[in-house]
Amino acid sequence: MSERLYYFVIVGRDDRVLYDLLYPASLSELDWRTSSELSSPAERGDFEPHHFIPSIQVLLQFVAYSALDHIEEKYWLTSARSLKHIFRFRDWSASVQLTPNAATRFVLVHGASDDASRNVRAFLHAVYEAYVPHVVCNPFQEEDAPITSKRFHEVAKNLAKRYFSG
Amino acid sequence: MSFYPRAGAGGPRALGSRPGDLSGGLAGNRPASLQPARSTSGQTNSNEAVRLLQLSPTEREAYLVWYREVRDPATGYVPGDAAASLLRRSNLYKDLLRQIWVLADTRRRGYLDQDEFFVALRLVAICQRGGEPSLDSLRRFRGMQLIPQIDPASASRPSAQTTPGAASAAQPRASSSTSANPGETLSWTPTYEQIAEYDALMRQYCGGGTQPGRHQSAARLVRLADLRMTGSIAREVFPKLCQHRLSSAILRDIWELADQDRDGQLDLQEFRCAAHLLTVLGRQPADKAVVPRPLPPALRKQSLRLRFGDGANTAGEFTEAAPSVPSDALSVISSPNAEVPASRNTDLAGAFSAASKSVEDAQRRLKELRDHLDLLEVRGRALAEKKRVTLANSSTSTLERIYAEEQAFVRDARGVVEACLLDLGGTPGQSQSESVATASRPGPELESERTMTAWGPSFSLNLQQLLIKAKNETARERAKVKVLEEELQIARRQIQDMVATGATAPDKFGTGRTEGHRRTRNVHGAKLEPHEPGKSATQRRAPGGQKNVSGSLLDDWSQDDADVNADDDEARNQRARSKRIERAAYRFSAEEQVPEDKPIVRDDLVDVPPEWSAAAEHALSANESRQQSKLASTGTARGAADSRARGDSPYRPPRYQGMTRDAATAFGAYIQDVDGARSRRFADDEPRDERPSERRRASRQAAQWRQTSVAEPSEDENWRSGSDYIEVSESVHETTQGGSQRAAQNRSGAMTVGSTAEDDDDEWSRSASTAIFSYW
Repeated sequence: MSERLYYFVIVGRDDRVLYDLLYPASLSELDWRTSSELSSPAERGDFEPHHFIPSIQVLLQFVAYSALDHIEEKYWLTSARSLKHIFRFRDWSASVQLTPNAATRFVLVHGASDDASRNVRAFLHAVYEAYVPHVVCNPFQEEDAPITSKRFHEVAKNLAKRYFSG
Repeated sequence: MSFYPRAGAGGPRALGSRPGDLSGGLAGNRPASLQPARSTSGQTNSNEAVRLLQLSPTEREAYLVWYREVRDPATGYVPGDAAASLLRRSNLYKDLLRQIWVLADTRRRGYLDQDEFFVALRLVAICQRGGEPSLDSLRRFRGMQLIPQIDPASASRPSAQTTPGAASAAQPRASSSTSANPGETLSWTPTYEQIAEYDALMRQYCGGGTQPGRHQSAARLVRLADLRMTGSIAREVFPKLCQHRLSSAILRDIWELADQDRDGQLDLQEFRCAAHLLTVLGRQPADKAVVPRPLPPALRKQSLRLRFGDGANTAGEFTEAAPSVPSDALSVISSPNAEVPASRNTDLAGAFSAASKSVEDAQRRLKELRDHLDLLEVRGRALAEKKRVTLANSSTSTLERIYAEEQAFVRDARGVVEACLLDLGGTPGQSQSESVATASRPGPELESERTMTAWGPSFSLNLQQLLIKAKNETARERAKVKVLEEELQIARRQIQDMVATGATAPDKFGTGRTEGHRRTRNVHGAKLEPHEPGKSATQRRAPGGQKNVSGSLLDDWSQDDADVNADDDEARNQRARSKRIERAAYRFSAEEQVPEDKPIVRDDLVDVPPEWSAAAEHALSANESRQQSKLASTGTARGAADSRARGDSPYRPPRYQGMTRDAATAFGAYIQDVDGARSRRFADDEPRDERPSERRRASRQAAQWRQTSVAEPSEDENWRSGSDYIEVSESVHETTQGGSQRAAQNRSGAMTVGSTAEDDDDEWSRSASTAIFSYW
């Protein structure tokens, strides 16, 4: 199950999360919601410390944030802007697409197997292609502001569906 | 749950349910100078405002209803708090209401008499139409019937603000039922006047900005349709349009909605859309200003264009209708209908004529699109065919794939057009706004503006996508053709020079040979060559050179490098090469003596694609008849058998036939086609007569480059399709040799060897064209 789980996050300057997306609906009620829409256990009211289980989301975010460090290491060693499997943790892997100045990073956490990481590069590139007209070209989008564009959200969802549903 | 603001999410609250209401806020926030104080100067102001107030009977009646509702029966005055609670229900901003109050209560009494109350109501109506609360706007709107939209449910119960539940329950826009002209202010459908203002704004900010010194009329020479609003301008304009009332998040969403093609700038239609969104949302209170999602159909680009024109004519009707393009057009935006009250009388007729005009416009546009699509289909076919020929000897799979793509493209195009025609023919079932379409199901001749907007967006969006796709296709094809063309040009220049430098010795062979016959048996290389037993040494060297020719480009290069390194074989190779050159020269000079061998020059091939295949056909048939006559005269049995075995199919690509003559003729047709493309390009730039001189210049350059003093080719020399063949293989040698010395050696070799080697002439030419086909 966890093999086919994808967590996509756009990280801005100072490692701020601009946008994130969790795909797919394998987790029971997580159908097409961004993780910011997910209520925390505390909000659900069933949070108790001794029942705490590190959720899969925490793991995914951990992998994504660890990947950021590896980006900074590898950034100087290569001119590529699309780095696959930049970081692996157990059966999870992170791939990255960088903007030209590498200020904004597109991180995708996915299963490390070949099957799960098949269309990763294409997805990241496609998201970047959508990011430019939907977000960058909007004059009222402040730099490093969270991306609330509904259209971009739709596009990202559809791209994830197209590339990862197979 | 809701990550993004949705239209119905919070439920717009009634203004009256806000805790800080107007009566308290107004009294508290009023500046000290505006505190109730009787002043004689205020008297004249009030008189002025009252004098400007010329109410129609309808207005007076409507105003009196509100007046009776809130007046103090004892005194006949309207007390401040009651008036405030009424005015607050107009959903105007507090700032505006404050200004209105200042204007109305000029005597600073804290209460209003009847006339002053009417002034306030009228100012409310003006503000609801986007005007400013001022005496000036009172003056401008004089004579127009303006009835403010005031929430009636809470009007019947003035204490509604204490019970927020009731107020919010009464919210769903009952205002349209009370207002005489429903939905006028807040409708998503812009009026003609509003569009005129938006156009004026577009003109002001994007048109005049480029030429600040010019007069206004000079700026108008730029068509409205060509203006684009960039993001930086939008940053400046958008807040002004909404009077700085909308947050940047809403502005961002508006931009996102308005930039419908997402190219990072707004064209006229997109700006109209954005400006209308800003205007409408800017008038609503902050908590009600929710960006509509999805975009209302009336604000889509296509429906805007259908309804209001595309601004293609300079200073179109809408810019003319705008009041004199003021220095600050934003004053216009805040005062719609300022100069066009007369049009209101003729609204109905105008609307009808506009509707019929838009229908005609749409039909015309559809016809244009259909023609365009026909052309596209034809062009796509021609391109596919051309590819099939040119790529005949390359990878089959790519060829088939490309062709299948082309076919699919054409099929799609037809399908969309048919669907659109069906749609136009009265079944707008698939259109975006079903309700409107089904309410008045139109025939194609039913000129209803509403139906236009009903089926307008869907079909034109389809067409737009299709056209974009088609445009991309053709651009790609053009690029390919251009590359081929440039290659040919280079090669052609070199071979022309080669021909010019006198390798024309073997004229003595006469014209008896038919190059078409030679081409018939050559395509697939040496293994198809009939081996002749009695070859001389030079003839046996021939296959080496032939392999050189028939190899791929890279093979040629590497082989030439090997030639350079191997000094032993150099002389021999050079002789072979120069012999080849000489053969080519002979072939072309011989061909030129056969008049009907001249290629059929089809300059219009790219412009009028269907004739490409006709040209191929024509070339083939001409070639064939020529061959057959010659074969009959020479009695070559095999050639005759070949031409018989070919059958009478007018055109078959060589790939599938495995025959070479077809390939030769078809390729010749392709070359002509490239010629046509080039001449078309020239025809775009300069007169048609420039071509020979262009050619001459090219040959002169080539001659200079080779540092020879040989006479140039005559101007009327025809561009042989065959010359291109040889050129390709020769150009390879040229580039690898790189020096003029070696070229000179080549020529001398050609002169010496060429005179002795007439025996294997046939074989050489065969190998040359083999090389071409394997190369292509």
